Amino acid sequence: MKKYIYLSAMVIAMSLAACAPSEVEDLFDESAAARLDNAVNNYTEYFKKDGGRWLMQYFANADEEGVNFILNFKNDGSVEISTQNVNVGDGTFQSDVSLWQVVADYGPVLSFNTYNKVFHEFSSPQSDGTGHGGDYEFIIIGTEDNQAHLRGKKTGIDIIMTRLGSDVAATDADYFAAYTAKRAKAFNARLTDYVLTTANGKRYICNDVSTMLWSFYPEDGTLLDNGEYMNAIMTLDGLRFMQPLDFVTEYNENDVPLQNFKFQDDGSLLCTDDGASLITGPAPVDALQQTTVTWTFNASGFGGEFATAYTDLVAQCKEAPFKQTFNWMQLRMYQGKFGIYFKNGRYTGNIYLGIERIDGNTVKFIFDPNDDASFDANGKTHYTRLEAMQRMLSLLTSTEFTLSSESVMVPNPMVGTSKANSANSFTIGFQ
Amino acid sequence: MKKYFKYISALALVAMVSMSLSSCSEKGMGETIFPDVSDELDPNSYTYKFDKWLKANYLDVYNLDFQYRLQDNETNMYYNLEPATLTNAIDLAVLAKYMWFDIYEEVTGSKEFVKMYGPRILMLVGSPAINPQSGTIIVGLAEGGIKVTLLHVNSMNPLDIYGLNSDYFHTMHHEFTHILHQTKSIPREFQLLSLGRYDPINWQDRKSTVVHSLGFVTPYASSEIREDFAETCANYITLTDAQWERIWLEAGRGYVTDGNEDSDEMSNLNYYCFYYFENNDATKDENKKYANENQVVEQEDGTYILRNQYQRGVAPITTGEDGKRYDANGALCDAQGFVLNSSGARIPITVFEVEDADGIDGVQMLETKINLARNWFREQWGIELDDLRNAVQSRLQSFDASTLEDLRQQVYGQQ
Repeated sequence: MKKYIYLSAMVIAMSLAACAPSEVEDLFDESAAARLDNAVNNYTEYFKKDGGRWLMQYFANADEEGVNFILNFKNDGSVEISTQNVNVGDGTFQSDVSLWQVVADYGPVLSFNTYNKVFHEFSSPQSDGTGHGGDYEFIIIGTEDNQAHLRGKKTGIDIIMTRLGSDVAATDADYFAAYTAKRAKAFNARLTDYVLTTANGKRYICNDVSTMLWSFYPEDGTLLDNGEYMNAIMTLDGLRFMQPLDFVTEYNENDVPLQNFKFQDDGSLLCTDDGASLITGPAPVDALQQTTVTWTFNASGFGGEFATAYTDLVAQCKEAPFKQTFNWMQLRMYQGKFGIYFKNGRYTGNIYLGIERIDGNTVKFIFDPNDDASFDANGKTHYTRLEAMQRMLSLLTSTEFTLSSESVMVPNPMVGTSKANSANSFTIGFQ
Repeated sequence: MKKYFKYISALALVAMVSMSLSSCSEKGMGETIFPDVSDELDPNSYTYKFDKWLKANYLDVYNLDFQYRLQDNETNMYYNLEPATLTNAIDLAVLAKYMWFDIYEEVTGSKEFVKMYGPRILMLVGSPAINPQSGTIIVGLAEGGIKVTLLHVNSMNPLDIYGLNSDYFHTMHHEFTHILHQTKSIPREFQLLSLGRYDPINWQDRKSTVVHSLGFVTPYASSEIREDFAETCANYITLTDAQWERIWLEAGRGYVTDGNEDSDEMSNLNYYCFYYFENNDATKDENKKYANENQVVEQEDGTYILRNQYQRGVAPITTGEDGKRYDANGALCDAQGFVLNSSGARIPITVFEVEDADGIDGVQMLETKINLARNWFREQWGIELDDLRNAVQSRLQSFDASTLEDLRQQVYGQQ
């Protein structure tokens, strides 16, 4: 008998406990599925609003430069995607229309789920099954009014999307035309040794910047011993590395990881993460001595006594004994020797100079006319027989010169101004 | 009294449990947690006409979700895949219906067969699934009778009906066969026919000619029993008469390799179905050489000769007193030193067929497999395999650009 009473009591107690109204308020007003559905709808509207025009800074993998896509999300579920990239078509501006959706996956996911010849080039398996290895589905990590933080679903690579107003560029093609021009102005494949200077003055030498596959080594180290690598993407506004440059963090104030840089008025790139670290091009004195660049004197860019000397030089070349039309004169570092390289009709010659760096912008050229090592044969003949050439060398080597350029990224063209007489100047540049 | 109390207690228990359950249902079990998904299509959608056509022709009729938008959680994440183009998705949607679903409707007399046994999901993928390690390429998948995935859609040329037949319609019938045999087993006799001759690892390196002689319709058929069955059925339905003539020819031949099957990479082995003796000299073993069919010409009497190669005279070639040239054996030769027959023509190099030494009559084996498949379709499904084949071949032969335009108009021509 007792066991029935106990059993009944136990069941009643358990039933009541199980069915008692919860005293804890629901944490959310809606079910998880309903919340996800709302999120999908909200994000869909978020991407479409204000014209639905976005710039996506896309990385397919860690070994390739980032790719800029402009996405125009339409109300009808289509998206027009454009880019200008060497891997897409013939490398010129390309555009294609396909479909997009925000889908409910593990969470809201932005998916480009029909083929777009511009966009899916980077997620195609190509012929080897791997291709570029990029994503076409992105987990939405977070959003602000005009910026979305996405994460590639397969690669886990962080992708930033920024809303573009019509004031940025009238058309997508205009954007990429402006982008191409700005990139050429900021990064030149023939220049090496860009400089990253951290907040406390630690300097890193940066190379392969024009390919956006940056290498770094501390100025007091070597690439072989201390080299680091990071791919990047440039936009009209600045530059973003795929991941923070952890290797410089220890030298940075407050241990702020460096990843995002913004173009300044002078063309340099200021880190927006710490507000202090700066990327600049090689200093003019360094650029002048780079073996990858030959600096040609601008015939109409001479000032003061230089202009007269150059005019006389051209005139004297037309007379005996040369009777040639003077073509050009260059400064170059070639086979370990720095100097003037010229072409006078059928003659080319070298006149070698020493170069002394006074500071980042000041240089002194050194020349000893009594040393046969200062010329090659044609160089000596031209120097000996052309008074104007002697004058030109004298002007160039008698004082220090301040080298300057309008761009701190690509010092091209560069103006050399005599410190003794600022009227005396020359302009050099490279193609 | 004890007895009544027992009943009362039991009633109390039932009552309490009932109360508990009704209490639970009041609180939260009434509505689905999943949001309502409207089946109304948005007329302003970029894909409204296509979606409307899919709903009318696949979802409503076959309860089939035609997924042309790729979601990678629906795929094997091991592979890098790209979505299908919308244009090709539309073409494949109408063509799949025309060459697959409508075929079964025509043969069975209703849509019910495919509705009952057909897949619930047909998914398109733009690229093939390429295994980066092995290089193998997947162009179609069937999963548990539920889903068929067609890949490589972005490479299709909708006007190349025979290319489509090879790449897609074959895949559709192959995958549908998988679905059918997942419902009713592959005949046991079929399962025993090629036992021990399957190669699930290196099938892709096998030559099609060689597997034909082993009684497999394709190298993939030689990978495992289930693929053998699906390939046999799909190829019987979709291959043209000319393609089958080729298979019968190759299935009846013997093959030999000049490499080492035990030690060489299978992909590096060359197989030959002909041999000859250099200069027609069979006296020395080292003169025996192998040839493939491209090097050989079949003569009217059914014998074979080597293409553009003739018997040379044995040096030295000398000029006889009659002014004619003779080789060291006294055979008449022409100015270039080739031996001439009594008619004054050069003597071709005789070619012989390699003996079929694999112990299998490839033709008979293939015929047996097809017959078993034919019987299985008839007995298990009430369908004549030959009717399927005839319907497919008829549509293949009559297909032209206007057929495709008419099919497209089903989508684009809607209001």
